[in-house]
Amino acid sequence: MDTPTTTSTTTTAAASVSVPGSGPASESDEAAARHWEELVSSALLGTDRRPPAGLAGSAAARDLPGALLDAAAVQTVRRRAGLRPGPAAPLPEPAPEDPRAPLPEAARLRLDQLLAGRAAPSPAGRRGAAPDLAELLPQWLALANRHGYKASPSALPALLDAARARTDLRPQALRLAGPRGLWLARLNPEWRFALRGTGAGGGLPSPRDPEGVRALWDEGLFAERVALLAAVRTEDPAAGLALLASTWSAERAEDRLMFLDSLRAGLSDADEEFLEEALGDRSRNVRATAAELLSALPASALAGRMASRAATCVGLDRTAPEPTIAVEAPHECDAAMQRDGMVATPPAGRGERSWWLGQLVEAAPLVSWTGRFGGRGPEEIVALPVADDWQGELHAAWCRAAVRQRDPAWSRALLGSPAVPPATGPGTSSLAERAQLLSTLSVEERARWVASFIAAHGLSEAFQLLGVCAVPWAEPLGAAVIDALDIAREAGSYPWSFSGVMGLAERCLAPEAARQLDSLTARPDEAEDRSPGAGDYWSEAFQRLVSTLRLRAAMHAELTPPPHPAAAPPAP
Amino acid sequence: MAASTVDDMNAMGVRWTAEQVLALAPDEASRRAGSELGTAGPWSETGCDEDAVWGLCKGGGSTPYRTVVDTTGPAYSCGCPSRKSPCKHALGLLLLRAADGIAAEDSPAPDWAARWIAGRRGRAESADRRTGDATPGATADPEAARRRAERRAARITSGARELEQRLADLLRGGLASAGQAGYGLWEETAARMVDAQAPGLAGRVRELGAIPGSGPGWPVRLLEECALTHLLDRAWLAADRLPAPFATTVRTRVGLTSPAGGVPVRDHWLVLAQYDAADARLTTRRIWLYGTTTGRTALLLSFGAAGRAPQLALPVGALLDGELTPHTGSGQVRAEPGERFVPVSGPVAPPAGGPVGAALDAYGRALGGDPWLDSWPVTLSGVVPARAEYGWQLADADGREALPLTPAAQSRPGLWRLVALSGGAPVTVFGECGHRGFTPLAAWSPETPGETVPLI
Repeated sequence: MDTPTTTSTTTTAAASVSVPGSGPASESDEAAARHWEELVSSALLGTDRRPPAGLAGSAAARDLPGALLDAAAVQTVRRRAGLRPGPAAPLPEPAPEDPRAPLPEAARLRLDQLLAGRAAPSPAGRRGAAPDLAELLPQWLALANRHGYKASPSALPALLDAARARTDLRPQALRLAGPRGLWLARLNPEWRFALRGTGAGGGLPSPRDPEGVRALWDEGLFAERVALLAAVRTEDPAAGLALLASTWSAERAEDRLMFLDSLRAGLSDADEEFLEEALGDRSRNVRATAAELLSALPASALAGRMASRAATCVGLDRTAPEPTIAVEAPHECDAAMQRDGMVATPPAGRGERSWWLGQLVEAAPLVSWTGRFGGRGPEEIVALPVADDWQGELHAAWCRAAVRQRDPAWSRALLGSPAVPPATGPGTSSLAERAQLLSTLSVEERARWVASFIAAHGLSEAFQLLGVCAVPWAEPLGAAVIDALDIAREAGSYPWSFSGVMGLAERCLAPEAARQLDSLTARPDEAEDRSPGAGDYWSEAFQRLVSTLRLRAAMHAELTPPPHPAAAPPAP
Repeated sequence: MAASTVDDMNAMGVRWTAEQVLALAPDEASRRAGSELGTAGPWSETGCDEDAVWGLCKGGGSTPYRTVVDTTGPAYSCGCPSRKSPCKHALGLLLLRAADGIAAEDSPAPDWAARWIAGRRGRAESADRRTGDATPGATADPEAARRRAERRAARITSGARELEQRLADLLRGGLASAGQAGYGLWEETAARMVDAQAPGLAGRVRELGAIPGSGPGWPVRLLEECALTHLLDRAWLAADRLPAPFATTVRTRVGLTSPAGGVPVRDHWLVLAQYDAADARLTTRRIWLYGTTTGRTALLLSFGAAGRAPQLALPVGALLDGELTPHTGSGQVRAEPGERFVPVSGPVAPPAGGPVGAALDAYGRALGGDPWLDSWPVTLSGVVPARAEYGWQLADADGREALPLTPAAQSRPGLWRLVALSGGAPVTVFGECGHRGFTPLAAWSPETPGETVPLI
């Protein structure tokens, strides 16, 4: 690629290209700069008005514009060829080391793809047969963080952009971005959001660093202190309690309430003494929270007091021909009851006595009822008839107690059989409350219960219940959802009536379910009594479901560290 | 993911990886649409052999699109109405192949695919025969061709004279008046140059017209570009007295297409960068390649009519085995690709580079061969992106000298990829170095030297 160093001298300017651009001395540079200034001002005003000095007298004077352009061409090429670097600005501080493992190759590409998919949303309206990549990003990020990977540096800008646009992605995205992500965010004002959270995230001292913890607890901002207490409490509940107790009396009432709330995590009988003292707090909200926490400890003194109060109100009616629960609601809410967290004034529209009863039963330990009802278990107790229309009130209070005390036996009893229509079951007909009861059951039992519920009642009321099931859905839940979708299709409904469940299924079905779905992706023959076109939409919706599941399987496989070098891609 | 299956570097069977396929996409929308089609769902009757992939893709209509890709070109054919190339169906098909979703024994190529593939092979072979011929174009009437060339040269000469006259008038009256005269005058002159069959001159004139509106300092820039246009006019008018390589460069700059007349170079080429620049008439795609054994940097140009993506697309970061025929002419890096460009596996390393001073030296030397060069391909090694008062620059790791980035490069998302990749530590950067500054196009971190990070 060598070039000639000389060109014909007969072409005035082209020949000059070979003149080396770098003059040996700065004097000639200065002279050249002066000469150039001269040329520019002459060109700007016109050679008629201002003939360029130095050229006017030469042989070229007859063609002044040409002579000026010749000279300018020489100067331009000379200047460009002689360009030198400028002084460097201070180099940036290097980004801190990130000891985490880099993402495996395939996972790195997958992240790029998911982030690119986020930036280019699919055309509005129809969702098509392809997976919704943006919906998979949260799952992918959580999984990558669980494996302890760090994002590849070149993906950081797109990752920060994604976190900027979607606040729900921020915690996981920033964790994956790590120290280099924060380093980068400091350089671009658009990513300033990433620095805001650092006080509550990256900046926390380790819970095992007592001096750092003490310093931040004594001097930190409120948000930092809340985050610190939560971190210490998670690591060592007793240390968290001690930290809080050390400054408790000096804290402001609003702060006390928030701090007390952090004790929910890792709550145990060891907290009882502190909580019992908090029942005498100046702030009513603090007292109520302390009472609520104590009532979740069935062995606490408060739970015992509540149990004996409740026992005077609820018992077996011995005069009835068959065992029946008789309820005698409290006639007053005295100072001792109020100290134990009961609220004396009912909300508008509720009777005082039923309001008090509800609070009493909710706070009483559920285990105490077995003794009260002659050794009956939860199922038997829930099955007992209740006199004088008190059943609704009583069962609702038991539901709240079961959730608060995380009691699976009572939850199971109050949920009743999944096959029974919600309106006629025991406990509660509210799906939200049922979802809460379900959350106290084990993962497998939850999946079984919701599966039976769907088998009996279809999908239309299942959305909230599905929301509390663990991901990926354990069998037989996945199969039940797929069957129900198939039935809905057979029945001629349109798939968008089920778009909520479909979306959940894309995110929550176990990837292995794809095999079961394959037969459903085919476009069925249009039958006369069907909704027109529904078959196509269903086939498309099932295709999207299958391709999303495949994609999730691939995502998992890519993020799982391979046991041996060649990890096989997931089988279709 | 899939590239590790074949060891033989010369085997045709090394298949594109998903990343390479996505790099072929003409834009972000195609990339997304293509990845959505990279699953088995919409496809049927897929199959492949060593050099081609085909399948039917269910689209919006009742008949599926017939999609076939010749992976050695690469070249694409699809029944869809999309004007993008490769279209989303071709991308999806290649992605499916990359993900092992198409087995070779699935089915023999159906007629429609076999016909297209055979057609391509036939053309490639006849092209080979033609270039193998000792006297290219011997079939045409050489006398008539010479007369045509002479007529065109005469037209260009009169165009160049006319342009000289316009420039002289402009300088006589002063550039200040050019600021007021507006764009119309230039547009008219550009049209005259098109009539004179000198598209290179026409393009320069259009650029001259844009300078008065380009912000502070425009008179200096206008004088520089007027002077270089004048230089080109003069060079053309004296072309018969110039050394042959330089005369070729002048002809190319004026807008005459010269055949790639150099000696073909076979190498394993690393694709450094691919980007498009579009104006109302034409989309120009620039692809930078680096020969891993020859150390040669080459530029492929591909053109598409307004709004259409150019045909040629190569994935950044891929290593391709193939032959390039360089254009002759001094200071030229342009080359034409041979018919077969086959991905190969092999270690990828960034081109050897130097400090920022050496990059400017290289540009300066290149101007000796082609004074109209706006920039020159260089690789900087051991440089750190740093922020100066005026904007971002690339600084030598010793913190002494630095090159500013061009204003356009300052506002691209690629800048942040470069900064993130560096993390304040030295990196290797390939780009175009010129009088406006440095345009970074690809970068490598010392921790992952095999991974080419595209910056554009």
